[in-house]
Amino acid sequence: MSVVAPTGDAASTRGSRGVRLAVHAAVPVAIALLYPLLPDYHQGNVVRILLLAVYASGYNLLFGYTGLLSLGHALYLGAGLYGAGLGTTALGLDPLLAWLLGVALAATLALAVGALALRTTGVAFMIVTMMFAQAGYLSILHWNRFTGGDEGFVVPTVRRVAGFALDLGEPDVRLVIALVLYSLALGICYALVRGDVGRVWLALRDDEERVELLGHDPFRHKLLAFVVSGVLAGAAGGAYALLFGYVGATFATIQYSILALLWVLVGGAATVLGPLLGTALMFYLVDILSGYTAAWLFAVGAVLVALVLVAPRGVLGTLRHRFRWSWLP
Amino acid sequence: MDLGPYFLLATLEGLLMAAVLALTALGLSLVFGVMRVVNVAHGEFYMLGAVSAWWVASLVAQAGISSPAIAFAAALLVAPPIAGVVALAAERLILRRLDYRPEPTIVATIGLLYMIQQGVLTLFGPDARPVRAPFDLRLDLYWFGWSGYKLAVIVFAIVLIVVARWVLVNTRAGLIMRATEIDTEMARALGGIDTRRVYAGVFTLGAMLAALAAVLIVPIQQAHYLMGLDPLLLSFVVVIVGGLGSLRGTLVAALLIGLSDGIVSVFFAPTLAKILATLLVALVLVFRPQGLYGEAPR
Amino acid sequence: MNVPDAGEPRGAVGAPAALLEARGLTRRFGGLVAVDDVSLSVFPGEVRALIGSNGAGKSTLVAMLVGRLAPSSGTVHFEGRDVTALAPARRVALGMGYTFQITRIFPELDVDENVAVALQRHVAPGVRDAAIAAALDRFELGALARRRAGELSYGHRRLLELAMATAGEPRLLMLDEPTQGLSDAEIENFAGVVRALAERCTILLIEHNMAVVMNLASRVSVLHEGRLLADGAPAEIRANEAVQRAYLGMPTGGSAGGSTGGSTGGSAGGSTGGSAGGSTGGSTGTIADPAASVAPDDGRRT
Repeated sequence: MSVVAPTGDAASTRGSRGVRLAVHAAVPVAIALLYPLLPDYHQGNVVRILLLAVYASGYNLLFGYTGLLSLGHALYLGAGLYGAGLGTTALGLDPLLAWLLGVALAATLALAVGALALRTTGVAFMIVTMMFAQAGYLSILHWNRFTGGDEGFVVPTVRRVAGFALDLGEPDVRLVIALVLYSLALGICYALVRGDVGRVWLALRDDEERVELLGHDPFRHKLLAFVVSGVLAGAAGGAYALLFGYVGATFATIQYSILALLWVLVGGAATVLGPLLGTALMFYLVDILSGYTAAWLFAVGAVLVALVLVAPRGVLGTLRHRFRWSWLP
Repeated sequence: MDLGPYFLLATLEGLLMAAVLALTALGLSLVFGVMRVVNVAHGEFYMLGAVSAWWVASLVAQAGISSPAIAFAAALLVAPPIAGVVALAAERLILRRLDYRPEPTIVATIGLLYMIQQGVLTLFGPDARPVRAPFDLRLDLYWFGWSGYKLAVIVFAIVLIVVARWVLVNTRAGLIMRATEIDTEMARALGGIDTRRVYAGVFTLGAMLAALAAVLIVPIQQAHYLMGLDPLLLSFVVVIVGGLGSLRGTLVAALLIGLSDGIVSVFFAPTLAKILATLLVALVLVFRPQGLYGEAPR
Repeated sequence: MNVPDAGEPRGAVGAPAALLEARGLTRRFGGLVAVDDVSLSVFPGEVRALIGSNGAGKSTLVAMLVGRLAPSSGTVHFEGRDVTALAPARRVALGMGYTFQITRIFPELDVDENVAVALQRHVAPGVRDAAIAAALDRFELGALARRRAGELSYGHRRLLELAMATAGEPRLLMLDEPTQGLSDAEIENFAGVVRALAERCTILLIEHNMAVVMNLASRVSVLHEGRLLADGAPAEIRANEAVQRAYLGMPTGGSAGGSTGGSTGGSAGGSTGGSAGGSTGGSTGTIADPAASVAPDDGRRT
């Protein structure tokens, strides 16, 4: 899927750089301002969307920029989820530590799987990543004594974090945490993508051997993308467990791996803001549809097919291409 | 305690599974071999076969015919073509437009998976539907008994595979498929082969094989809209471990996996077996991508 | 017949140290020996040409020099250091540059971003824009800086690839059949570019086009059927009978002047076939998908 990604101005003028930064920084601010105006139900959705967008943003680094189609990223989302969830319930850790445990677990898995999977390319890579994720999901089911299996388990509402009284059941507190996490993720993605690393990623997507013969180690760069995407997924999963008080195996299924792909494609692969947009759009599409039918996954399928046939660049990608908005990374 | 009957049972169940798996995986292997396309929706064609079988059987029953044999025969004749039609439509409308480029095709077949699966959910509901076996014979040895139908399935599958092999090797159609598999460009240029029609044919055939396998298994298992996922994963395992593009590899791997899964499932937890199988696929792809009999990577 | 030169002893007093030294390089593909015990040395400041008909083993040899292919036996030393086991990225980091037989750049990136990828390891962000501009200007590509590299003509792509390969100031630049696909005018221009480059780095030129070789090379190595056939100054090579027989086809007696048509057999224009094995069709025979095997012609032809 060769999604065109213009890289913006190399010889950027100060104005352009400012515009880029301003647009991206404005997004979390806009969300913060918009939030109080929303009814309760949608406030909850905003938090969910923000967390899932962190997951999608990480995936975008690997798929959109580096061009590696992983079908197994739900493994890292699940690792964060279960790491944080079990950390608080079974290990009695402080929520912050439990979250870090989730992130660390996701990072470790991403490093291990990445080191193996990146020895393959193309179709084999997709299958390998999918298989590892499936093994992870099946393990959650098999060792259900610890994981709660298919049903999952509840995480009691967190009311103290790192010694401070912080009620994670409070909707406004949830928003702040989700917004902070998303802003961090946004910042990390932006910095990586606009920096030297991002340039090599984009070049790898075009021609790996040419990159190699310019002195850059392709494997290391790909592994970096893989691990960062795993870390962000783990961070999102861990936060989800702690903020919404529930850990379940659904998040580790192939479905969630495919959803990441879907959200990135819809919003625009290889755009920094694309994942948030895609997550939000599809979240609401599914939300609305599931009010009418149990078969809302049909829409997921139809959208994927339509995207691939008609709009592989997604919303922001198509806009960027059509209007030559080189200022949108 | 005499474990003899248990082992025999496990072996036979494993053979049954291997037989059905071989047919299903054959479809996937053909499509990948000839078209270089990974059809993630392959399991859904399998499911379509099972669900269509139930539908046809219930139509027959509604028409007042009470013989399960006739219902089953009708299902056997009608269900695979139903899956074939859906496959052909998908190939025409979607895959061909994508030029079979690997990444977009995979994403498209993922979308197709959901569309077929959820479409069936909408039309047939979430319940498992039974289909009666065409006959109720039982093989009864005084120390061991087994379903005559299951035995028949194994025999039938073997016959089909032998026929498939014969077709691939001895007929013009088979030759065309093999030529296209080896080198599409050459087949087009030297053989004047219309590769687009070959692709359409192979994709349809692959779907029909899977559907056929499902029709055979549905009297034993029941039809359910989610039943396509396990066969999909297992077919992947078989095709990759056996080696892409190798018929012998597919058969050997199906036998291995079917038997081990059958045996393991009788004595151990099925989930654990599945975990090991998925890890096996991953590691084979990483360390020995050609599987057992495939060509070594260039 | 010239005996292949095993290279000056490294560090011998009074003798220049070889920049690149291949010793006993051999590469087998199954039963076929594509490169057979080749030893050669490239010295600083040279413009060294490596010539040979299709299937002679040039691409395989160069692939081993730059690290795209591991040798079956033999070693490669760069600036005195054994790099045989090093990956291409490491070798490039140590000071090698390489351009592909069929030009490869990053089509989806802008032209200046292409150069940036090459430069970013060597130049700090603050001064990078100036460095990129300088690199592009050197090849008269400045006006194209913001264009998508995929839109460039083939000739411009070649120049871009050169700009990228030289951006890191490599000490050894390997050019794999760089004139292939260029028009005569572009080839003229290219020769000037290479001459200018030669002032800054040592060049190893794998070439088919005899006119270019005679024009630019300070020394020529001839590969034939995987073995080093001859090694010396261009005039010597031209006069060498064994080389003429093996590579150039019918001896044309010193007429290999400026025109590409004069040197039968070897040039891209076509060949009389002669004894040059599979060289009919000239340079087009070596075209292969760059993403496919590294040695496009060696595995399949004799």
